[in-house]
Amino acid sequence: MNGDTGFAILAAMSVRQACPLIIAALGGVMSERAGVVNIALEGIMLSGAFVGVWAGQAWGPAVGIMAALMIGAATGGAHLAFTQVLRMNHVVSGVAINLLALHASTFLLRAFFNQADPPRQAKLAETVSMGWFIAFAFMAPFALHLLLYHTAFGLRLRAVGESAARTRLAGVSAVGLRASAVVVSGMLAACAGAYLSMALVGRFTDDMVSGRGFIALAAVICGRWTPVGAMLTCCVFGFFDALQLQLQGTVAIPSEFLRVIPYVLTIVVALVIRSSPPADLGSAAQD
Amino acid sequence: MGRPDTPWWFGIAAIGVLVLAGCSASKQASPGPSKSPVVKAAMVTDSGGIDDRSFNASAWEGLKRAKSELGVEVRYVESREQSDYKTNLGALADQGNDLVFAIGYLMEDALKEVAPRYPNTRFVIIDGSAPKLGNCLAVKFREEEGSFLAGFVAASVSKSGTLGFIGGMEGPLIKKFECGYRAGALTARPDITVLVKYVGSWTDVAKGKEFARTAIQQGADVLFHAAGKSGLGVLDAAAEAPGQVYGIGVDRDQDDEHPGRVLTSMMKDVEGAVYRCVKDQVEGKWQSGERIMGVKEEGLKLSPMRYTRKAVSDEAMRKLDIVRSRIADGTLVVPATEDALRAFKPPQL
Repeated sequence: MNGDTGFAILAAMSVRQACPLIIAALGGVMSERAGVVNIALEGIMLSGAFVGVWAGQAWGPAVGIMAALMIGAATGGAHLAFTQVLRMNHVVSGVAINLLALHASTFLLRAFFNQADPPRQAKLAETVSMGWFIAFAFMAPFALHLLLYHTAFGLRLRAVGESAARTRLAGVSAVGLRASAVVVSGMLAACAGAYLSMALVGRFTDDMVSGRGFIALAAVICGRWTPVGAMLTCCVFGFFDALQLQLQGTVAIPSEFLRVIPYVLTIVVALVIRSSPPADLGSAAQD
Repeated sequence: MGRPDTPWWFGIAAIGVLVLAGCSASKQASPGPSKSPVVKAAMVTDSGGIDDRSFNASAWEGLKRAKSELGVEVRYVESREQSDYKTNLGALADQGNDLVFAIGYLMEDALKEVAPRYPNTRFVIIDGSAPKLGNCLAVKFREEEGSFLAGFVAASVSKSGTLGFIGGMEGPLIKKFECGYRAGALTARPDITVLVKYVGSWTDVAKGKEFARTAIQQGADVLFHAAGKSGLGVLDAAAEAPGQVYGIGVDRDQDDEHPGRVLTSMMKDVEGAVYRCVKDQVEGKWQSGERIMGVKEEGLKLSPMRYTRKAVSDEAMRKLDIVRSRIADGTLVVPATEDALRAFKPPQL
C-alpha cells in the first residue's frame, strides 16, 4: 500500500467512524444547551438503530428512517416528561432510558424476528446511502451554529439553559423551549443509530451502539457545548479510532494501548480545556 | 406537579410482602432427585436465550435428541440477566431434575454457589470450569484444534498469502483460537502472514466490520473471527469485498450468513456434548470432573462447506484429513498459547 492511498483509506475510515458520533453529539449540544442533561443518547441511538432496521425491512428504507426519527422523538419526549414534568433527576432518567432501550431492543429483536441474529438486510444497506448521513453530519453542525448564535430562537434556547426561571420572567415559555430542544435531540440521536444499523452495517445486533452515545456526550463536553467544537472532537476520536484499526496487527504495540488513545485524549482535553456547562443544566423548568 | 405523598405504612407493608415472598420461596422443600426410573434433564440458558442459534440452541437440540432417543424428560429455563443464573439453577434442582446443565462460562460463579447445596443433583457446565465437587462436571473444548483446521483450509485457499484473524477481546480463551489458527495456516503454507486484530468488544458489529475492511485492505483474503456479535460484521465485510474474499464463521455453522462467501465455520459440538452427558447418566456411567472435547472426540469440527466445497482443491482436502487424523491420534499437538506457537514446528505432510 503506498502512502497516498493509505492516507485516503485512513481519512475515509475516520469519517465513517466519526459520522454517528457527530450526529449524536449535536443532539447532546441541543439538549444540554437548553439545560437538560442527556446521557440517554446511548439508549436513544439504540432504539433508533432497532426501529430503523425493523421498519426498514418491512416497509422500505424511507419508512425505516422516518420510524427511527419518530422513536427518537418519542424517547426524547419521555426524557423530557421525566425530567421536566415529573422533575426526576436528569441522570436517573437517562440511565433508565438506556437500560430500557437495551433490554427492550434485545427482547423485541427475538420477538419480531424469532431469533437472536436475524440475517442481514443486505438490501437495506445498499439502498440507504452512507453519503447522505455523512453529508448531514458535516453540514448540520454549521446550521446548528447559525441557529444557536444568530437567531432569536437560539438566543432563547441558550438563555433557558443558563436560567430557566429568568427566561420565564422575560415572557418566554421555558418548558416549550426545552421540549423542542429535547425532542430534536432525540431525533438526532436516533438518526445516528439508524446510520449504524441501516447504512453502515445493514443489521441490528444486541447492544450494537456499544458506548458511542457516551463518547458523543464526552465530545459535547470537550467541544465546550458548541456544535462545531463537538464536531471537531468527534473527528479527532474518529481519526484515532481509524488509526488503531490500521496499526493493530501490523505494528508491535499491544492493541490495548492503541485502543485507549481516544479515551486518554478525552481526559486530557477535558483537563486542558476548562469550560463550564450551561449554568442551569440539570434543572426542571416551570411555566 | 408534586410527588404524591406515600403513606409511611405503605413502605412497611411492601417490605413485609417481600419478606414473606422470600420466606415462602426458600421454604419450598427440596425433594431431591426423583427416584422415578425416568431420567429428568434440564438446562439453564445464559442471557442469549434459547433461540440464539448458537450455544443455547445447540444445547437444547442435544436435550431434545436425548428425549427422542433415550426417552428422558427434558426442559429448559431462560435467563434474562446474569442475576437469574443462581435462581434458575437452584429452581431446576428443586424440581427434582437429575441432571442440570449450565450453558456458558458466565455461569461458573453461580454454579459454585448452587452446586454444594444440592449434593443429589448432578450439574454440568458447558464451556466453563466447575467447582471440584462430586456432583459437578465441566465440559471444555480444545478450541485451538478446531481453529487449526480452519487456519489450514484458509491458507490453502488464500491467493494473497495473507490471512486475517479478528478477535473479540484479548484473553487466554480467544488466544487459543488465534494460536491454533496461525499454526494451522503455517502448516499449510510456511510463508503465510496472519494479521491479528482485536475489536475490544463482543457487541460492536460496526467496528467488527471496520476491522475486517482494514485487514482486507491490508491484503487479507480469508478472515476468521472469534468475536461474537462483532464477528457478524467481519463476515459482512468479507462478503461485500470485491474479489475473492472469504470469512470463516465460529461456534455454530455460519455458512448461511453469506452463502458462498463464508468459507467454512469452526463449530463447537455443544449438542453432541450435552447428548453424551445425558446418555452417560442414563447408562449409569456419569462421572464428575472434566471432559475435554477436541477434534478426536468430534467436539470441534469444520462445517460441511455446503456452498464453498469447490473453492478448496481436492489436494488440500486430502491433506486436511491427514491433519485431522494426526490431531486425533495425538501425533500433532496444536499450540494454544503464544509461547507454544513460537516453539511450534509445522509438520511435513
